Amino acid sequence: MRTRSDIRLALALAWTILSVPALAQTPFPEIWSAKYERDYKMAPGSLLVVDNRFGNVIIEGTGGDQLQLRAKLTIRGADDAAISEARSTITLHSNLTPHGRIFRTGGNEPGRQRNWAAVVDYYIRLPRTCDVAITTVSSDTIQVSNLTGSLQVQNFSGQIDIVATGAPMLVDTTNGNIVVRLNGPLREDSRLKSLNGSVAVFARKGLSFDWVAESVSGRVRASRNVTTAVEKIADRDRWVARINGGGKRILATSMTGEVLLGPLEDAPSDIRPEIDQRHRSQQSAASGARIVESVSGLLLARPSAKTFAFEQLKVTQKLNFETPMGNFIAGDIGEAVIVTGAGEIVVGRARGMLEATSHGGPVNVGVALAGIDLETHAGDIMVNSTRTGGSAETGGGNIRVRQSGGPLRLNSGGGDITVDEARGDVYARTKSGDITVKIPESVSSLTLDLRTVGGNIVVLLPPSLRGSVEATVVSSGDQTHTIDSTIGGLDIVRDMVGDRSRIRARGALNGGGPSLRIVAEDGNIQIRQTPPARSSR
Amino acid sequence: MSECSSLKERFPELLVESISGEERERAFRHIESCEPCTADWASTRDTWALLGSLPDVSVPARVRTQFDRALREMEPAPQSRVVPFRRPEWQKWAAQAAGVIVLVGASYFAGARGSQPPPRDISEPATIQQISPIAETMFVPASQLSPGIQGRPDIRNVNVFQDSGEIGVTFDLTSTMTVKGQPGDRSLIELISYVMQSGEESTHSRSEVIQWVKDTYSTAQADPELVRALANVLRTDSHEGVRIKAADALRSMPANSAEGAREALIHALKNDPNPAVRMKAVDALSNLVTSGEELDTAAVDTLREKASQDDENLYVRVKAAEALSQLSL
Repeated sequence: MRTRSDIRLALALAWTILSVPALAQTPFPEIWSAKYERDYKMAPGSLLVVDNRFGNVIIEGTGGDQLQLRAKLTIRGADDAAISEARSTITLHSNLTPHGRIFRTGGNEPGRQRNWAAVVDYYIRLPRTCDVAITTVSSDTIQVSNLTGSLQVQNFSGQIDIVATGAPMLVDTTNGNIVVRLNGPLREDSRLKSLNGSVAVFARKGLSFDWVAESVSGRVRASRNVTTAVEKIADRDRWVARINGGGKRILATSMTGEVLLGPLEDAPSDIRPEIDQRHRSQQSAASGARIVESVSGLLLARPSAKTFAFEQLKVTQKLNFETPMGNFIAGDIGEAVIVTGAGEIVVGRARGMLEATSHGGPVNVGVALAGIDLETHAGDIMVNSTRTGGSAETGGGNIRVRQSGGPLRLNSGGGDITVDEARGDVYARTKSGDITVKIPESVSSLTLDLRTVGGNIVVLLPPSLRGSVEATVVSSGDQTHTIDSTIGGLDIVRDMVGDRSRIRARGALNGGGPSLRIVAEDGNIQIRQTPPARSSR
Repeated sequence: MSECSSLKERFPELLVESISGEERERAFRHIESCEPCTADWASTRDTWALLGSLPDVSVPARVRTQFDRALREMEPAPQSRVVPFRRPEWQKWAAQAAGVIVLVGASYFAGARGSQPPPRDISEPATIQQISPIAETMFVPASQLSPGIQGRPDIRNVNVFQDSGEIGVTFDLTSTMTVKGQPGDRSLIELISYVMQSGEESTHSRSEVIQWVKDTYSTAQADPELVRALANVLRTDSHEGVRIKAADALRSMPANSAEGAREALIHALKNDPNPAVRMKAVDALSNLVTSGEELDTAAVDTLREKASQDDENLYVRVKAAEALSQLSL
C-alpha cells in the first residue's frame, strides 16, 4: 500500500515533468504556482467529474473509500500585475453532488487572456469502482489507470493514456492521440474517437473482443502478433475483426490519423504517429506546390489544395488512379481515369480521354485534347478548354467551360453554368443557378438545350447563326419573369399553365435550323447578339 | 360560439380601449369564462405588446407611394359626393408644360440619335455639380437642373402637380450612371455593397459584382462593409449560384478583414443545403484558422460536428478536421 509520502513524490515528479511543458509555449517570463491538497470521503461506485480547461489530469484507482486530490495551479504572466490578475480570476471548485463529486477550474476560459496563461494539473486517487468523467480543452496528458468503473473523456488536444482493466470507455478527442493498454476483459462496448489524432489499442494476450476500426485518410493496421486473428472484411478504411472468438466491441475511429491494434507487450511508452504524418504532408506540400506553379497558367482558377495524394508533373502511360481520400494533381497526362473519395482533382493538360470523379471536391482542368467526363458530388468544375467537348456534372457547384470545340453536356445540382465560347452543341441543366452560353461569330449552327430552375439564362448568338428558337419562361405565383431579346422576329405567346404564367418566344433565325431550346422556370431569359470580335490591328 | 367570434373581431378595440365601459366589462366577463377566448385574448395582447416594442422602421418612399396608389385605387368613390370631374386650370397648364418638356426632349433625342456623341469623359460632370446621394427618391429644384438633357434617359410614370404656387414633375428615371474612383472610396464601397445585396438586381449582375469584389479585394485589405455585404449575401440570398460566389469571395478575403464573415461562414457550413457552399465555407474557415484567426466555441463546435457527421460530404468533413488540427486553444 502506498503511503502519503509516496503520493507526494509521485506528485512532485508529475508536476516537474508535466507542468513545465504545458506552459513552455507561453511567452510570459513571470511564473507563480500554488499547490492544493485535500482528502475526501468517496463512496465506491460514485461519480467523479473533472472539468479542467487547461492542464493535465492523472487519475488512479485504488482500494478504500478515500479520494485524494493534489492540484497545482501554475500561472505565467507578463508581469506581477498580470500574475495578480490571474490569481484573482482562476478558481478551483470542489462540489459534492448527489452522485459524487465535481472538481472544476473556473475563470480559465479558452481564448486566454492577453498577458497571462494558467494551467491546473490534477492528480487524483480514488476508489477504483468509481465512474469518472473528464473534460479538458488542452493538456499534455490525461492518464487514467486501474479503474473498473466507467470512463468518459473529452478533450481538444493532448494525449489520452488509459490503462484499462475492462471498464467501458467513451473517449472523444479532437486533436489528441488515444492510447489504451487493455489488461482485462471488456465488460461493455467502448468507443474511442479522435478526429486528427491516432488511436492505438494494445491488448493483453488471450483477451476476446470485437474490433471495429475506421480511418478516413489515415491507415488502419494491426501488428503481426494479432494479424492472424484479424480479417479484413470491409473496404480499406474500415476493418472488422473478431479477436479470440469475439466479445464486447471496441469501436476505434479517426478522421486523419491512424488506428492501430497491437499486443500489450508492443505498447510503447509514448506514441505520436501524427508527427510522422505531418512530416509527410510537408514534404508533399513542397512537391505539390511546384506542380501547382507549373500548371496554374493553364487553369481558370488556382488550386486550393496544398498537399496531394498523387502529384506528378508528367504521366506518359495510361493512368488509373483511385484513392479513398486525397487530392490529385498532374501537369500533363495521357488517357486517365481518376477517382478520389474526397479531394480536389487538378489536371493541367490531358492528351487522352480524361475521366475524373471526386465524391467531394473541385475538378479543375486546363486543356483537354480528347474529351472529358468529369463528375463531382459537390464542388466546382472548371475547364479552360476542351477540344472535343465532353460532360461535366456536379451535385452542387458552379460549372465553367471557357472554350469548347465539341458538344457539351453539363449538369449542376445547384450552381451556375457558364460556357464562354461554345463551338459545339450545349446541353445544360441547373437547379437554382444561372446559365450563360456565348456562341462565337464563326459558328453557323449548333443545338442548344438549356434549362434552369430559379435562375436566369443569358444566350449570346452570332448574327449568322441558323436555328429555331424556342424560349420559354415559366413564372410561379406573383412573380413576373421576362424574355428579353434584341434579336427580332420572335413570336411571343403568353398563356397560363395551371396557376403558372408562361411566356414563349419562337422564331426562325436565318431561315431556321437546329433547335435552340431555352427554358427558365422562375427566371428571366436574355437573348443577345454576340458582339463582334475585336479586330487585331 | 357566435359570441366568441363577434368578440374576437372587437379585440383591437379592446386593446386600445375604444369601446364603452359597459361593453368592455361584458367582453372581459366573457373572456374570463371562455377558455378559447382567454387564450386568444392573451395571444393578441402579447402580440400587441411585442409590436409595441419593435423599433420604428421608416417606409421607403417608393413603397409608400405604391401603397398610397393602391389604396386610392381600392377606395370606392363616395357615391353621395360624385361630381363631374373638371381638370383644374393649373393641372391643364402643368400637363401642357410637361408635354412640351417631353416633346422637346424627344425631339432632341431623335436628333441626337443620328449622330451619337462620343462617350463623355467621366471626369466631366454632366449636370450634378455637387455631392449627391444615390437615393430612391431625389428632390431637385428646377434651378439646379440643367435645361439640356443628355443621352436618352428612360422616363416613366410621369406625374405633374402643383404645390404652393410651384409645379412639380415626378417621374421614374432610368439612366446609365458611372461612378469612378479608388477601390477604397466610401461611395463606391457603399454602392457595391448595395448592389451585391439587392435582390431585385439580376443574379448575373450580382454574381459578376461579387466576382469582381473577389478579384479586386483579395490581395489587399477588404473594407469591412464589403465583407459584411458578402456575409449577408451568403446568409440570405436564395440563389445558390450567388451564395457559392459569395462564399468563394469570402474565402479569398484577407484574414484581417474577416470580422463579420466568420459567423456567416459558420451559418453556411451548418445550414446551407448546397454542398458546394458548405465546401467553400469550410475552406474559408480553414484559411482563417491557418492565418492565425481565433474561432469562438460555437465555431469550433460546428467544425467538430461537421467533421464527425457521417452523412456530410467527406470533403467537408476532412476540411473541418484539418481546420481543427490547426487550432490551438
